[in-house]
Parts: sequence; structure tokens; C-alpha cells
Amino acid sequence: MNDNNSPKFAVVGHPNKGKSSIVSTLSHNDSIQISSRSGTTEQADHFTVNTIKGSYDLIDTPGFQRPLRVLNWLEQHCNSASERAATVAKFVADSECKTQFKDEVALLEPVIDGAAILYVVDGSRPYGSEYEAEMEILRWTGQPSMALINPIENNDYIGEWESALAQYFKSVRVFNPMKADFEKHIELLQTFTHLNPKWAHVLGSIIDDLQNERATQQTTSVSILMHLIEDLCQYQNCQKVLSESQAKLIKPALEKQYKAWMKQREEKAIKELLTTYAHYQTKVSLDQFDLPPDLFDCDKWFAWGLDKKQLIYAGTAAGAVSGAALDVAVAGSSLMAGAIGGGLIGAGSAWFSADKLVDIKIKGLPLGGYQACVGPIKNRNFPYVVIGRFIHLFKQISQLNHANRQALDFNASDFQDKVETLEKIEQKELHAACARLIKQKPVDSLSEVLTPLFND
Amino acid sequence: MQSEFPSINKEQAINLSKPIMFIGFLCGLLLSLGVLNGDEAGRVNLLYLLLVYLFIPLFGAILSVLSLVQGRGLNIARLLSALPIWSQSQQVQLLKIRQQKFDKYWFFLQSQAAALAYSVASLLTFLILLLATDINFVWRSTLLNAEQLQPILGAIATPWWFWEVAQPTSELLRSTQDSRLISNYANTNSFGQWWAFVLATQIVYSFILRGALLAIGTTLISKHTKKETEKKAPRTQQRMEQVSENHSYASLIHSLPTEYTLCNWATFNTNILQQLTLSPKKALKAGPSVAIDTHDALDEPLLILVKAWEPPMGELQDFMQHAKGIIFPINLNNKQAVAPEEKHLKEWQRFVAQLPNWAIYVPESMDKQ
Repeated sequence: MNDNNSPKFAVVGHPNKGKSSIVSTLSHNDSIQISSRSGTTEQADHFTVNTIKGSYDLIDTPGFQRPLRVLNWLEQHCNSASERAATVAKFVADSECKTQFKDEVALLEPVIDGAAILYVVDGSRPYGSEYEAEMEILRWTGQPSMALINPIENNDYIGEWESALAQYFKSVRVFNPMKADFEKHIELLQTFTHLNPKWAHVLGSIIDDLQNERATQQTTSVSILMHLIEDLCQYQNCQKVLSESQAKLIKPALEKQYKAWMKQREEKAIKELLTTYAHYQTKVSLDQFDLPPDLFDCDKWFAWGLDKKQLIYAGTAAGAVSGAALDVAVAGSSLMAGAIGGGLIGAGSAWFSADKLVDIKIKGLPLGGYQACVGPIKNRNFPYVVIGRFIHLFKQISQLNHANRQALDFNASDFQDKVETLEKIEQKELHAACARLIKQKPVDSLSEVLTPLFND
Repeated sequence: MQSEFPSINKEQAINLSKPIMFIGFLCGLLLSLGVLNGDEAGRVNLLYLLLVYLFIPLFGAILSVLSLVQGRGLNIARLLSALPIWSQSQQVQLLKIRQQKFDKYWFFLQSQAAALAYSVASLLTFLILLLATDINFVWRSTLLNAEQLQPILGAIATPWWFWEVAQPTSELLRSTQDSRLISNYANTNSFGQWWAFVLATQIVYSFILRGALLAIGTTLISKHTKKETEKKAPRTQQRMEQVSENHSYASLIHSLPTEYTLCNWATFNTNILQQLTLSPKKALKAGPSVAIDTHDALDEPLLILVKAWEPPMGELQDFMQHAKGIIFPINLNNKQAVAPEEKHLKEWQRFVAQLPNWAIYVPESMDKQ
């Protein structure tokens, strides 16, 4: 009947004491229904936490509904203490009990099947004697058990609960599924290893895996920010037009598109961040960046879509090749003067005649024109704004428990403080990287520069 | 509108950059022209040719491979990418390549393409000049003599051991050693005999070597992009089932009937009971901690005191089904009886709405608190 090889934990207790929240947080699963309404969980739901080296099951169960009557039934059907566990198994198997006490049968079934018990109570409300019947039933099962005090609203009655629970459970822990950080999860898992010695090895491996996964999640987050900031600093929205007045005409539309793109790009990065931490239901309210007003520019463009600088390079290359051909023709006696001279002439021609190309038409088609552009942002503070917003959200998301379904907000005012906590050399590298990013230059060590910002 | 720059697919990744190839071609052309130009007698220094056709391509290939192994460093394409000649779209492409983490492969591939273009330009220039002019291959050195040079050139020529004409011999080396002080040559035929060696050097150390590296680069990128595509397979998003929130709620009453039986289900102590100022006709002992005989007929309405914060349970429901009356949910604050919180009251209203003959009592004095 019992399979003790794979760790299994049945989360049981009174209705509406945060059992589903605990399962959601420990299984990193935000799809589990959580409600302030009691009776949301109507049957025992199994959630498997899989890691590379192992897995364990968390079983979310319905709350006790008729513990006193169930205890009466058990007492009537049991002759001695040695038969208690068997009597509970008999209760679970009894067809009449399945109809009369469906909640108790559903919550005791996984326990009889070998799951350890995690008994959940609310530490913000006083202890009551009505809890004793259900704790007694759990004691009858003989399964390893632990009590978790969930301080739903406050810590006012934790002491009272600890005194009561210690009489029924070997281990009593306070665990808030809404606020507990990752270290608390690990701490709790470590206490699970004491519940059943057979599970200690598997749970130890799982803890290692979870810690490694945590490190990987942080690396992925750095990478997401890296791509975001590079994209935002690089992005430019351009449109070729025939005249300067036409360029000014399309300015509002270009700016609108530009801002929408920037917003969508940041939203995409946040979605990636949420996915990295397995948050699929979390809503984020995102304000638009405060973009600097001087983003619009109107440049001339020339033949083949090249701008003046590119035209000069092309002219130089073409001139050098033509000159080199002349060198070949005179069997090299010109000592490369053809190639060098040709290059110079090509560059000079491109420099001086580029502006005139705008007005030249070949068969009615203009050879040049104007290009209206919005972006890229040249403001030196822009990369810091992007990093600040992202880091702020990272801090929230990486610490966000899967039971917590509140929307996240933006307030990156503390980023400057974060930068100041960095070592001088790290600050210098960050400033240098931001200076390069704003010039649309690649930063090879960007990942290393950003990583310290993600550390606590 | 796409919310990010489009990713580079495999076809785009292995696409060879024409500007980079053009620059490689131009370098090959100009350098070949420079070294094959020679003096007024058409004499070209064989050691200069080895520099351009052997040392530069070989050194470049080693640098490329080292850059690939280390992931960064110097190679032609990486250096060229730093030049301010790239358009916005090309810069975006370079950015995506870097973000998709195959920049080292891409730079490696493009470097091979540039070197191959260099090699093609060198070969073409060499062949055209061989056909169109009289190139006299000589070698000059203050420190080296023919006996010292021969084993080095012999080692270079090992890959084409089967092509006898292209093998350097001591005799050929001796006969083509030159000094700028010599003005008359006894045998001019031997000066042209180095062409095969130079051509084979270009083909093996530049063209074939870079061609092979180009093929390796293409394979590496294909593998990397395939791996990236597999890694990017969308994660299955877990879906949360929406629970219907349509419930009916029992209405509240603010006064009690004149006659009722009190049931202290929550086992509140005397202090709390006194605060409630209730005057029941009689009291009934029942509750979750007490065994209840639900078969007793209960004619008078009951007033059941419950802890507002505790959700209603099945045991209470079973008890209520055999009776009629009023539920009085009470909250406690510093041992004082207060009105239930809104969320708890809703819970009780939902519960009572399922049971006929029952209502919820919240005294007006409490309701106003």
C-alpha cells in the first residue's frame, strides 16, 4: 500500500488556512487556484516538483469538514491503539464513508498511501479546541507529520499555536507562503528531510537542484536585461521621404511607432523574466518610459540608400580599385600611385558631390532624398533608467511567491542606491558600458558588468 | 509591428557578407599587385611573395581558429565590424548575432569568406600577371643561403609532393639567388621556374585552407542555430482554471426574535457572552467540540454563535439542516466582540444562502463599528 521511495507530502488542515497557497509556493506553480472563499479545493490535487535529480509530490487537499464525527467513527471501529492506522485505512476504503465524509476521505487517502503530513493552521487567529479532533485523526494515521503555522494576517497567535501543536507534532514551523523568500523554502525543504529518513537523499538532491536552478534563473535574467538594453539603445525608426517638409509631416507617426515599439520591447522582456521564474499569471502595470524630447532627426540619404559617410567609403573603395587597374595597366611602374590617388579622388568626389545628389533625377526617379528618423536615444541616463526599472522588477519577481497573485508595480527610485553599493571598479565598468551602449557600440563584457546589480 | 529586432535564422546566419568579402578581395588584389609589381626588370622577391601568400593567410587562419576557440579575440571580420561603415540595419544584424551567441562562429565564417576572397584575388592577379608579363622570381637575403632555405621551402612544399615542378630544389635556389649589384645574368630561364611553387603555395595555404575552414564555420553555425531553435521551443504555460464567482448571498438581519434558543457553537467565554447582551429563552449545548444529537427536535428558532473568521464547516451544516434560526458571526479584537470583517461575512452569507430557514444576524451597534 505504502510507497515511501518518492517523497510525498499531503498538505492538510482546516478549510481556508492557506493550504493551496503553501502548495503553490512550494511547487512554484501559479496555476493553482487560490481563493479567500473556503472550499475552493474539492479533491486532492497532486503537484509534482520535478528537478534534474529527483522529484517530490505535494498534495493539495480539501479542508476537514466533519472531524468530530469522523473521530467518533474511528473510535467506534477501533479496539486498541495498534489498530489505529488500519482503522483510518478502513475508513478511507469504506464506501459509506466516501459518501458521508468525502472531504476527510479525500484528504486522508494520500496519507494512507504514504504521504507525510503537513498540517496547516492560521497563526493570525486564536487557537481553538475544535482543531483537536482533526489533529487527533492525523495522529491516528501514524504517518510522519509536521505543522506549519501560516501567519495569514499577522503573527499575533503564533506562540499560542506553537504550544498547542507541539503536543501533536514533532516539528512545528512558521511559514508564510506569501512572503517567504527562497532561503525559507530551502530551509523548509531541509526540515522535510527529517520527516522520513528514506527521503533524505532525494530531498537533498532536489535542494541542490533548486539552488542551481536559482543561479541559472539569475543568469537568464541578466541575459534578458542585456538584450533589452541593447535593443532599446539601438532602436531607430526611419522612413525615407523626398523633402524636409514631408519628413516633418510624418514625425508624429514615427514618434508614436517608436514609443510603442520601446514599450512592447520592455513588456516582452518582463514577460520573459516572469516565464524564467515560472510566473504565468502575474500582471504587471507598466508605465511608459520618459523619453527625451530630442529624438527626431532628418538626414539626407543618397544614391543606393547610402548616407554621406557610407558614400565616401564606397567612393574611396571604387576609386582605389579603378586606380589599381591603372597600376596593372602600366605594369606596376606607377608604384601604387593609381590605387592611392584613385581612392583619394573617389573619397573627395563623394564628399563634395553628395549634397547635389539629392536634386539629381535619373529618368524621373530621384537619386537622393531625406530620411526622417526617431532615435536612437542619445541621452546618457537612458541605459540607467532601463537597468533601474528592470532590476527593480527582477527583485520583485525573483522573490515573488507563486501563491502571491498581486499585480507588480514600477518604482525604480532606489536604483541609484543600488549602483552606489557596487565596488568602485564595478561602478566604473557600468558607466563605461552605458557610455558605449548609448553610442550603439557593442559591449563584450556587458553580462559581467550587469551581474553584480542582480546580486543581493 | 514586431516588439523586437527579428532573430537571425540559419539561412541568414550562413549568408556571407558581401562588403566583408569585397574588402578581402580588395586587400588580396592590392597586396598581390604590390608584391608582384617588382622592379623595372620585373624581378620579384620570392620571400615577399611567401609573406603575402603563405605567412599572412596562415597566420590569419591560426588567429581565426584561436578566436573561435576562445570565443573572442582578433579576426578580420571582428575588426571590420568595429569600423563605422555599417548601416543601421547591418548594425542591428550584428547585434542580433551577438545576442543569439553565435557571433564567434559568424565572425569566424565571415573571416574565412574574406580570406577566401583575398585568396581568389591573389590567384587571379598572379595568373593574369603570369600570362601578361614576365615575372622574374628571385630571392635576396643577407643572412640566409640556399642550403639553409631549401629545407624550409621543402617543408612548405610537402603537401604537393606529387607535383615535381612545384618542388623547390637547391639548384633552383642557387640559380635564383639575387644581388642588386648583379646586372648581367648567365641563365634567365630559371627565374620563371618558381611560378608553380608560388601557385601551389597560394592554392594550398590560402585557397584550400580557407575553403575548408569556411565549410567548418558553416557547419558550426548550422548546428548552433539548430540548437538555439530547439532551446527556444515555447514552454508550456500552465493555465489556471477560472472558478465561477457567481454566488447568492443571504441577506442580513439586525434584530432578533423575542424567543429563541441560544447555541454557543464557538464556545465563546462568559466575558464575550456578556458583551453580546443576549436574552435567550434557553441554551443548547452543541458545537464542533461537543457530540451533538441532531435527532432532537428543535421547534424554537436557534441563535448560533460562530467565530466569524473560521469558515463554516460540514458539521455545522449538518446541524443546521435539522433546525431553523439565525447565525451570529462574531469577530474578536482584543477580547472584544466586534462585527465580522467583510470577507468573512460574505463567506457566511454564501453558506447561509444554501440553507432554507436561516438568516444572518449582525446587530446594528456592531454593523456601525
